[in-house]
Amino acid sequence: MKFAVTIILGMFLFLNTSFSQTESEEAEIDLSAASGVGDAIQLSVTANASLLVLKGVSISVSGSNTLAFGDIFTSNITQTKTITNQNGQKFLVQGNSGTNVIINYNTSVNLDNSLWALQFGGTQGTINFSVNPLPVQTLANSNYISPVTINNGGSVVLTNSGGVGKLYLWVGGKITINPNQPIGDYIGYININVSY
Amino acid sequence: MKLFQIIILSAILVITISSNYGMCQRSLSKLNDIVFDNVFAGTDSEVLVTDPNAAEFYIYTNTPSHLTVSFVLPTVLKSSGNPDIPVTFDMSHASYRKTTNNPNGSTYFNPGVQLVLSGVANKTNVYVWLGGVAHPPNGTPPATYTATITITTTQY
Repeated sequence: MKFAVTIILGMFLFLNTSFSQTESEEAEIDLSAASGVGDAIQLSVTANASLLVLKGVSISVSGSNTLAFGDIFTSNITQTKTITNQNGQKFLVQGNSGTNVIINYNTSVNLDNSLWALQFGGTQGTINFSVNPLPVQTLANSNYISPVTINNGGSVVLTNSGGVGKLYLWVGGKITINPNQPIGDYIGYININVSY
Repeated sequence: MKLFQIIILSAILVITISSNYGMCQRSLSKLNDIVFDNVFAGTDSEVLVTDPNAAEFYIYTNTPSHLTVSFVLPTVLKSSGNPDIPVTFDMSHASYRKTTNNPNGSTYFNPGVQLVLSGVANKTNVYVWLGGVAHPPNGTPPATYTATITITTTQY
């Protein structure tokens, strides 16, 4: 019987200890993670909001080459003159690395001498310019290495170069001078459109 | 000896009751940040609550309670040295749902106004989602812009 009483006391002590620990833990939670008034418990956490604004795509003329065909003497036969892509106009497209861009260009435009004829007199005429051969790209390489043909409407991914996505385009072409072509300075514009 | 057995049984019952008292929990945690889609300057970027990039918060209580949810929302996203980008949060970009962790079918609310959920049942999971719209103006410099959102819950 004496043994039984001892056990009873021991169990009650254990129960009291357990209950006290539970209360203590709850108080610690209140102090570290919440503030309460009466029974109200208030908790707060934060979240981050983030947005990456990308670099817009741009295109610019690069290098010193042009699509100037120089002086040509007219004759009574059809003449053609070609500027290769490598010796033609170089363009630089820039944007975020990995951006997929679509290249569109005029496959054929007419040059005319209307301004020259207006200023100096003479017969107006036109000369056809065709993008022939087709333009090429050398990715981020500013030198004419491993050129790849770009079809009108073709897409290319801008390649990282020093943290910027780059693409070099090389555009040459061919003009056709008709027999007895009116003389003058012939000017025309070829548009290269980059969309993304 | 029979008396001893009775006492032991009584003790176990009391311990069980004590343990239940000790599991009283109220918690709030963040499950996800808001990550707006990458955009070019001049193009808005929107995150819907159903978007995996929406912010998500988890609230739990194992005692019956009333629950309020309120936000401290930024009005701009910032990047050092760059102009701020306005960001907006409205009723179509915040929602909550009890029990089920799925924003599809959740209830929308205005994050600019305190949400009050009365009579939240014992052992209830509450999920809160927050999206928004960032408005980078034309000419915004390329960079990463950030802000902090604070959510506060009160249970009583």
